[in-house]
Amino acid sequence: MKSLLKTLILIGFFFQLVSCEENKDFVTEGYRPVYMNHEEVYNIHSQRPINIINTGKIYLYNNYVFINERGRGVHVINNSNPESPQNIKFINIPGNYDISIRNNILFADNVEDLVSIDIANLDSVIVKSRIKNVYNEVKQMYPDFASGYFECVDPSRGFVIGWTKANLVNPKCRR
Amino acid sequence: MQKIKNIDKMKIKTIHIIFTILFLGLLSCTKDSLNNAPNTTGKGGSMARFTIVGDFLYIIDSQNLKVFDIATPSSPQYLNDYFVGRNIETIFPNPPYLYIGSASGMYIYSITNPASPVYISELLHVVSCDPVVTNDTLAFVTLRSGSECRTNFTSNQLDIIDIRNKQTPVLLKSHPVDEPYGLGIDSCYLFICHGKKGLGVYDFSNVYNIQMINMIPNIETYDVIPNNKTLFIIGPSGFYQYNYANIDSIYFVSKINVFNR
Repeated sequence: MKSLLKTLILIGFFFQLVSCEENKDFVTEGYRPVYMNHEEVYNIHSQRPINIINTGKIYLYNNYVFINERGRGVHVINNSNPESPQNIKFINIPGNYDISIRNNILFADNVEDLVSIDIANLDSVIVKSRIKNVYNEVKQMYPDFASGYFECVDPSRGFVIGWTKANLVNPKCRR
Repeated sequence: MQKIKNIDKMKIKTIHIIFTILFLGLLSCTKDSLNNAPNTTGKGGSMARFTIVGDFLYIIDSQNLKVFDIATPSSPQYLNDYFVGRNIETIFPNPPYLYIGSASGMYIYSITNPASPVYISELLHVVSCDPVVTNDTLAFVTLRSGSECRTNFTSNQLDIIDIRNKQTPVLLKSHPVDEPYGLGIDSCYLFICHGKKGLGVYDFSNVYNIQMINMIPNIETYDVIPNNKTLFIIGPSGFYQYNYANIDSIYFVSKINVFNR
């Protein structure tokens, strides 16, 4: 049994060598788009606090600190007692990286759009306005933070809300 | 006669020294802290791409500055779009000016008329990642090398720029620093995120000889906002607060951990 396995492995190895010579796959590290379907993008709401995983930028507003969860939304931290800040809410804003707040209205990028969100009641935030296509397509089409290979974007799969590092086989896109 | 000449020379020297000191004094810093307007607008960090000044929201994408009238915040009005340059990354307000950091330089825009920003000048540098913060006379730009910054530039530095004349910003000095990310400014102090190395505290009373006066090690830092003597620091493993009421003895206040780190 063992020797049969060995033989099979040897044969497999041999074939692989042959196939490599005939058709060398180019494998390289690069970035793969993370998609979100079009309906999901408009799902802006507040919810129970969630774990902080991919920290983005921070923003201070009164006794609150907003911590961006990259491409997902913002964590709301009640900082009334700086010695013991409390993670109290998460505002789900797909494709979000930046915010600014004035008079309880939070402005945020929501993939391609700019939205204004009333956060006066953190239990139930309300989208007050949406300005469409504030961001040009560039943000969607390639990882703007890196150079090198990436998997080409297929817009039919939804909006690109982020990029993950991956091993790519014969990538056709590069910058 | 010879004696008198010598005295004259000394006088001239003294005047020179006094002028130099005055000049340096003008360039350095004041004890007033910045951006602490106690109104209902929040405050972002040096990596921000959004900023609010008065009734206007300014945002940048990778090439353009966009202006929104938010006098009625719940229904912002899109006013206009200005091409700034390629690979723009950060926006820092110091009214009536906006400072925009790009991969290849720093741009200054006037917002004297807040609805219509006007290009004033730019100062180009090597291609790198480069947030900017300012007071009224100086701009501080950190330049970081590394592949994600689309550059083969191999050094890391802090550039100090004289911006008293907004038309012609002048590079005064480049200091080598460890891998810099975001930075913050308060009076004569700069707080620079050094990635895995921690957060450095610098005294820039003498811009030609910046001193690192403190270092918070063992935390990985990405951006910092100094506000009311508290440093709000974000990094990949957590959100930290440090008190710097006494700059010589900065102390830890709290941390919120990132999950699974």
